[in-house]
Amino acid sequence: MMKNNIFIIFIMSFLCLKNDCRGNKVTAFVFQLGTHVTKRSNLQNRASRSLYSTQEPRDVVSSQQDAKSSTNMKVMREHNPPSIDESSSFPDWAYQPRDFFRYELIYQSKKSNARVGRIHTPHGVIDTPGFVAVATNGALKGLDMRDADAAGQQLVFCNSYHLLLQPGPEVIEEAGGLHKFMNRPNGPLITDSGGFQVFSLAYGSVQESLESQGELKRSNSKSSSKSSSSLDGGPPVKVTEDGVYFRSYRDGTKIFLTPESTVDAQKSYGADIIIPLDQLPPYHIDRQQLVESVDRSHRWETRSLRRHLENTKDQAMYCVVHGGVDVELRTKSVEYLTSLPFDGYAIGGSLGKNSDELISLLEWMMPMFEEGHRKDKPRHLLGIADEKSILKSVKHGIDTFDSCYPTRLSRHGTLLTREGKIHIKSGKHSKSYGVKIDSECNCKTCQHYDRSYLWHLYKAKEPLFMQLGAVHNIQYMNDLMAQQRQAILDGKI
Amino acid sequence: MTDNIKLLLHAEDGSFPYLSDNLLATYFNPEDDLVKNHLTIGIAVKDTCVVPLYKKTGGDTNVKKLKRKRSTKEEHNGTETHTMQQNKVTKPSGYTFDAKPIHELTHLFSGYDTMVVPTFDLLEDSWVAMDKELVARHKKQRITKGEEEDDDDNGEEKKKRENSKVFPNVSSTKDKSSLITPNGVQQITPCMYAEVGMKLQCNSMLSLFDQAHPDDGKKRKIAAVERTQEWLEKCLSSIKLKGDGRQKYLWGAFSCVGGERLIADGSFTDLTQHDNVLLLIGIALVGWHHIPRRHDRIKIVNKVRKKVAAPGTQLCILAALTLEQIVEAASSGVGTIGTSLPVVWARSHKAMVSGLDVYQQYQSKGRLDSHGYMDLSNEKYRDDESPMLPNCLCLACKNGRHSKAYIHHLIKANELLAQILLFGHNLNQMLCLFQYLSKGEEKEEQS
Repeated sequence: MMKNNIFIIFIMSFLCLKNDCRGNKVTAFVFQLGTHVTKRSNLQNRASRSLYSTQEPRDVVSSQQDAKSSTNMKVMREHNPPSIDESSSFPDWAYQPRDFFRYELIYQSKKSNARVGRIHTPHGVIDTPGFVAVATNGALKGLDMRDADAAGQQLVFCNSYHLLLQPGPEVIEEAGGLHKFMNRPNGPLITDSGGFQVFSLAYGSVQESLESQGELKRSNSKSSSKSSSSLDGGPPVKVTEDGVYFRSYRDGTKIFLTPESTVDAQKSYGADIIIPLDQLPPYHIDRQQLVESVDRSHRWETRSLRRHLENTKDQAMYCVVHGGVDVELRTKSVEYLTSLPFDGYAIGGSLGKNSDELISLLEWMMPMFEEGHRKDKPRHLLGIADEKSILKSVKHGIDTFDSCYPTRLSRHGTLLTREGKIHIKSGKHSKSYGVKIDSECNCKTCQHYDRSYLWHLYKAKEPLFMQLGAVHNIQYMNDLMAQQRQAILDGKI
Repeated sequence: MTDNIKLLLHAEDGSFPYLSDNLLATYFNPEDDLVKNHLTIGIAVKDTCVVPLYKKTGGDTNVKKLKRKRSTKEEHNGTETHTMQQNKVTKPSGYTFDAKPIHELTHLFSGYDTMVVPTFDLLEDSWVAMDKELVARHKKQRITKGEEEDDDDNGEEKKKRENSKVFPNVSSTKDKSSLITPNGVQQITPCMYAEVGMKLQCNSMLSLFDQAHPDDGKKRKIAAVERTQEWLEKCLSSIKLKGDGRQKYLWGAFSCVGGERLIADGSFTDLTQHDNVLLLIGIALVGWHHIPRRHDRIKIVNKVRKKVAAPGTQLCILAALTLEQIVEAASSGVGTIGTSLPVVWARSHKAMVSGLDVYQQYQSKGRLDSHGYMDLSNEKYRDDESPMLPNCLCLACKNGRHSKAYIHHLIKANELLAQILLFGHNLNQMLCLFQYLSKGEEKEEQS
């Protein structure tokens, strides 16, 4: 376009000079025309750098109900094409299939978007749909990995933020990576970027942020946790275009996390799947702020991807789709991020205030992942793994789910069964001799212990309870996913 | 040296601390020689596996929140109500110990050698009941002081105890022993205790005992020794009456604090002449670890062996606080040595050094160079990629499974897995030490 403008100016100048009529006035006119054209060209370039068109298409439908219509979705996509500039700035080889990581589709349901597959990683295979247990500090709470492996656990999630603070990437790298450090040579690992912790530092947990209506934790005078210690008297977290500042909850050191540094740390950890830096805004946020947040997340994720591709180290990188519950923003996010050479897609950001909103979000969003090359890559739902959400999300084509929910429940005396949760601390279990936690469960806990003994251990505050409870809950989740896979294969889902 | 010196492991609340079935079966299988020959699991009747927990009537039973004041006793509608601080736990009158076979109560694998005891240390119970952290601190001080006290007991410990006022009212009566349980202080007679013990169906049982503190007066010490002796008689009679005719079943308790004087007086029953001597496995020296001087500890063992026990009768101590005490006891001919060191060290982030090193140091120098452990919370282990011990076959070290750096990280991250790995390691090395102490010669660890 720039070249065309210059050509027009040249032609007009030539014509004027040739005719030699009107002299300086013509020259002045041509100059002004050239200036105007140049300005317009610069505006367009700036627009493409911010990744979105500055003009809203007039026929975009923003209400959720209308957006379910695939026709309207198509209209939106035609008016908001992915930024070609950014995607073309990645080398061609980045778009080629990886030889160390791939998603294998085993069976696609004919009744829904549910599917059975396998994710192949350098350290093992993950059957999907599958549950991902969370080992925050490189260890499952109260559980040796051998017990977790015996309970059927495949993929394990480690939190990059916590590992950054303790022991630090250099220690893990010296040890040969997380697999060697934790001694899990035959189990795949996934690490995140720390983006979620940015959110939790600033706004508290998801529940807290919903209750506080998106207020920063610094406003909450009752909050006295170390994590909310302020940065130089201000909020505990400071987000800039380059990255995010926050304080270590361990020793108060100020830390600056950038899209590049988080990738460098994850390279040191050496997990099979890594995640770029993103910003997670709270549920209650005005739209303009949400737009800015999504934009920033996209820019960060692009930078992270660029750094990752400098040396992939046999690691796969998933993008994180954002946009809250806003149809338009989610759509834009999907369109943009899936145009880049990520190896998989994580659904992140604010996922609604409850399970129903989450499912509603997935209902209109997930069909986008069935189009074209997107269906060949795995999809992960971040931070959600309660049973109700899983059962509904599987139908929409989610492949993996991570959450500390099952292990956290077990620490607090709640055990999962096919008939619902049981609270082992209840006195009614004290004489449940010979009664397993779950009559159909075959975990080590259910094989050897009854509810009465587990009640005793829990009441006596024996650490053994934590292990036994975690073994059971993890196996329960893995059994649940196995049932889902079988149900899909049997045509029931 | 005695063959097959056994470690009496305090199984708190009847559970094998920290170890799931999967790990137990792999690393501490009852069929393994190391376990079969050198491990006995001690079950205390005061633990929650035996004492049913009653519904609280109010307050929080979190032990850490218990303040340091004496428990008060109130009577309410004919039911004894004990108040430990704000907590009121109502129990029916009479003893309330749940008597079932131990494998039903605890789900321990069958095959482990098990022993019933009333408690491991009455005095320890009172500390634990009041403040677990305080106990840990004082234990650490006692362990440190234990080396100094051999030469110079300046009574500092006594002063601390007098000032702290932490002891609840746990004094026994002539007929009943007071045990601190999660329901508060409960009293039990020797016959009730014998009945409970037999129903638990363990391999052996320790008779009920009373225990005085070294700082107690002479009268109290004599009373404790005499009661222990009487209760032994009653236990023996109960077992003979209600038992299944088994032999070599009961450990006779001998209260060390004050007991020596009675041996010297000749007023202590010579158990070698006892009518029911066949029932006795041996003599358990209760409160042995409270004797401050090493010389006195060895002396009492020798006296008991000469004056009280029949030839070939085994000796047992209930609670050794340090590695030095363990090696001392073994050198003196004690065949069963109780300790909770593997657990205590695991909780305080300590990994035992090689059992062989401990044995060799003691043989060559008569003492240990260190306390016998590495403190893995120390920053110097942050980058140490080596396992805790290179040739150790425990669940943490075997095949270099976990490095010191990883365990250090787990400790810093406050992960329970650190305690699991440390306990497994400490127990393994402790059993190896007992193996060396038994055979009195260098042995390589059996795979």
